[in-house]
Amino acid sequence: MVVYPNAAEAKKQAGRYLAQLATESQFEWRSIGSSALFCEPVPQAPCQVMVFVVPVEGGFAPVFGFTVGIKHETRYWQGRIVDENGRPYPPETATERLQEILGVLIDSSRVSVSI
Amino acid sequence: MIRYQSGFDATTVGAVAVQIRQVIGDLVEGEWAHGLLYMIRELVDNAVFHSGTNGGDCLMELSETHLHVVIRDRGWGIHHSLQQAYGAMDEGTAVRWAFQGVSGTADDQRGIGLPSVLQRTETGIGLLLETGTVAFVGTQGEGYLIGKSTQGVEGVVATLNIPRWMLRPDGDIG
Repeated sequence: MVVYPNAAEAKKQAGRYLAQLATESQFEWRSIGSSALFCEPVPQAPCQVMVFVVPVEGGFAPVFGFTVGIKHETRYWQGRIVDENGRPYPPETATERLQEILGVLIDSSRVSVSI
Repeated sequence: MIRYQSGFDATTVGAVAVQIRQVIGDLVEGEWAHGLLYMIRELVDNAVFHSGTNGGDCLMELSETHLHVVIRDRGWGIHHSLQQAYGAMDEGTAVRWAFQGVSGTADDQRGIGLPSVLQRTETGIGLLLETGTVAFVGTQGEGYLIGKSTQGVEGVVATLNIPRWMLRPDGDIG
């Protein structure tokens, strides 16, 4: 976890999380605001990623949040990219974990049978 | 979509397991088939022995990118199962415990367990397990608890995503 002493600095770094995701990702992201990206790798699993700042011990840290799927119509998932103790990952790990999790959810959405 | 589908219960699970072995053997390269069958067996056993309904369904489907294997039951779910044995807990805690090897079954009756299923995602097979209003993603040997919105899942639905590169070039579901 990378901790910043104040929220303003953490927010500034949060923008870099999104920039790194947009440039290194296997998905084609487009910006939908200063703190969110959107992509639609398959029609049934549109993805939205947000980055927000949370208070942690010693300061503040950026955290990825995501939604995958279409709410109220089909399978829909949401979560945050944190470790098993609820702590944010450093940026490289967070970006990697986010893409792995999104990959499984997108792949699972390809199943045509009703779950 | 090409699909295999069969229900199973405690009396038919043996015959269905033979069919599943046949399909996986035809579709998946040998070096990956063994580990995959191990994962499927654990998930099927869980439906038979832990769901409260003595069975479930197995579905297989090919998409452009993957072979998808879905094992589902309409039972009482992991949350209820562990609460019966250990008392009140939230759904997320129950699923975390299950993937740490905690079960409502006596020690001498346990199978290889969900931790083994999670471990085998190291090969590149993706796992999504949904129960109640939570979901658990397994990838590269690591597990992540996430939320499932809209309506909760009845029982347990486990989806295994096997990438195309693990499949035989001439494989098909007959």
